[in-house]
Amino acid sequence: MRRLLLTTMVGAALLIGLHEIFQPGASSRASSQAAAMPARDLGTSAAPDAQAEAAGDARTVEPDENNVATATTATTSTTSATPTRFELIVCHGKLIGGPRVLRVEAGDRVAISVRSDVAEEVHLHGYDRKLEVPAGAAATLEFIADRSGRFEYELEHSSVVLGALEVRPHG
Amino acid sequence: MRVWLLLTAALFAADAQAHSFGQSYALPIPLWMYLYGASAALLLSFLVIGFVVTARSAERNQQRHCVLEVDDRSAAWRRLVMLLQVLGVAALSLCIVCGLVGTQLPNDNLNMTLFWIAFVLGLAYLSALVGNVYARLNPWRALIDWSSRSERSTLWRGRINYPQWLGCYPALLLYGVFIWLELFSRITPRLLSWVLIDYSLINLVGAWLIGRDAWFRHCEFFGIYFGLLSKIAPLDYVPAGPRWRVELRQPFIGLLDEAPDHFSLLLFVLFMLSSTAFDGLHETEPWVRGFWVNVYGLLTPFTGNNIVETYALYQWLYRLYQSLGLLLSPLIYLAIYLVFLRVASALTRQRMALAEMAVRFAYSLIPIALVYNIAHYYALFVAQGPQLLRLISDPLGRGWNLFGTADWLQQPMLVSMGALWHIQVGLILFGHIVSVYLMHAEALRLFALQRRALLSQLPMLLLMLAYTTIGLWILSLPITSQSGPG
Repeated sequence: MRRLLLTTMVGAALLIGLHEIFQPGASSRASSQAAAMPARDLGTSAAPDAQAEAAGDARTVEPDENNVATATTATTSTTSATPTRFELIVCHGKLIGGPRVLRVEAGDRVAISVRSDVAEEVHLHGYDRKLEVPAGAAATLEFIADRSGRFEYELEHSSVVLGALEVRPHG
Repeated sequence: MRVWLLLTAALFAADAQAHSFGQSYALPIPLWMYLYGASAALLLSFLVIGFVVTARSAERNQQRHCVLEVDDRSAAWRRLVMLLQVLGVAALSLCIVCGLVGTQLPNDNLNMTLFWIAFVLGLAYLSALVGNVYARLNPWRALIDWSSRSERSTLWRGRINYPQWLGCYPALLLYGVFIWLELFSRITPRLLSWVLIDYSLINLVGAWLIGRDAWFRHCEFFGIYFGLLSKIAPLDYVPAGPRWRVELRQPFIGLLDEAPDHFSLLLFVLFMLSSTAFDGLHETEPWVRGFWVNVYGLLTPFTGNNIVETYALYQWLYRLYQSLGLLLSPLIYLAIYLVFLRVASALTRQRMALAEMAVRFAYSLIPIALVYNIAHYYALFVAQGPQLLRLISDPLGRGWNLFGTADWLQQPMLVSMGALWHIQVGLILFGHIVSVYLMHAEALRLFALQRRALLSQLPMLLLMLAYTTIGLWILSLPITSQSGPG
């Protein structure tokens, strides 16, 4: 029993020690995540333009050639008053314009604007939000991404998944 | 027949988009956590070996305490058994009926959540906690038991002898088909009901053909699945003549009790592990791009570049690619397993045949299969499980409110990603440690090794490390929404 206790304590110390070694520090966290992402995502990387455009009231994030749009906030404020905008274009039940993956940080204000040729309903899972899009016009869904995770959004009527909103946690 | 029709229809159905039921909302684990997990697994393994090596005896852990002894014929026991049987059959009937007459929206029909979350996931975890309750809850077994009550019943005695060399391969086959349906067909509530009806028919025909006992021992795959998991539990239900003994034991130690008696059980355990791993892999970017970029690039010289024309062909090929991945996944795990065991065998200079050795260590893999299952499905279980409270008031999705809970939990309960990642890595590390421990305990017992023969145990450690690293790696891969070339 004593041996078990000793082994468990050494194990716990090891786990905590390793955790401290591997966990990126607060200041380098953003850069290590941004650096890690290209290594893992096979070419989908944080668009460098996004950081340069961070200043300004309404930011529109352009997707890179792999259809991933990442919003990197230059400031470290937890709730940003300026929403991160994404523009999606849907035609014949398929996404023909706009990014497939929307990446934001928890706490960001998000505005997803959808334009469709026919009247459709876009359903964002997880947040359980619905957006009615009239035929031939655009509609915008605005909310605060307070929950982290990966949330698919789909066209409700045709049950077609358009893409996903990825909210990464702070830090 | 209907099963085959369903399978073919599902195979050629319009391109199935990502399932709207069964979303786990989980983000991949960050790179640093993956590296942390892998290094922690490595170092902790050495710690465990050190612990085992200085142990006095592994036998002492196998003490059991009898908690309760019940007479088979006592009224209370019979009532309990009857209650569990009724519960099982009622749940099955409820699933079937709700799927046939209720709404086809997966999140609003009780049967999807009741089956996929409460039964497939929930009962698995319950079995690992409290033992083999499914033995009594099994609705198909209950139906067969009820219909063989009369003295003259020979219905389930079996018409042909079960060929013993088949082992549990029929169960493995059914399990494979089940996972394939789960991953690749558009399961709607109605389709689920039909699958359950078909499976019920298979059970009845099978039990009629080879006999009830042989059927449930070798072919009813849920029984084997839950039975394997229940070996982890600290509670064991042991028949002792006319009585039943409820015994308390250390968790996980039940896995050392006996080895599987057939190679098919090793494959079954490997499939438990590999199917969960493949479920995690099959919608990740590297895997999907592997087809739409690499395979597509290889084949376009032959089929032409016009995706509009060749779309149907490539969708069919994509489904083939995915299906082959699922089919080959246990074989890849088996190959890794055999390689490391071969090395271990050479180092310990054993005479035992590789196949026999492989079978002896099979059950030590069950802890990693379980923790990987929990890690992979945790977010889904937490999000969708509590929805049962809402769904029992409105099982058919018609706006009823039978128990007043229909307004509860309109939004799913979400786990924060930070917490989820730590839970996932923590669970995998825990399962890894347990599996390393069990493998070594078994090796010590099997090979009657000198305690200092550490070198011979290094390949087994590396085997577990390989499985754990693969598991963590899959968890760290980005998920894609891609469904076409480019």
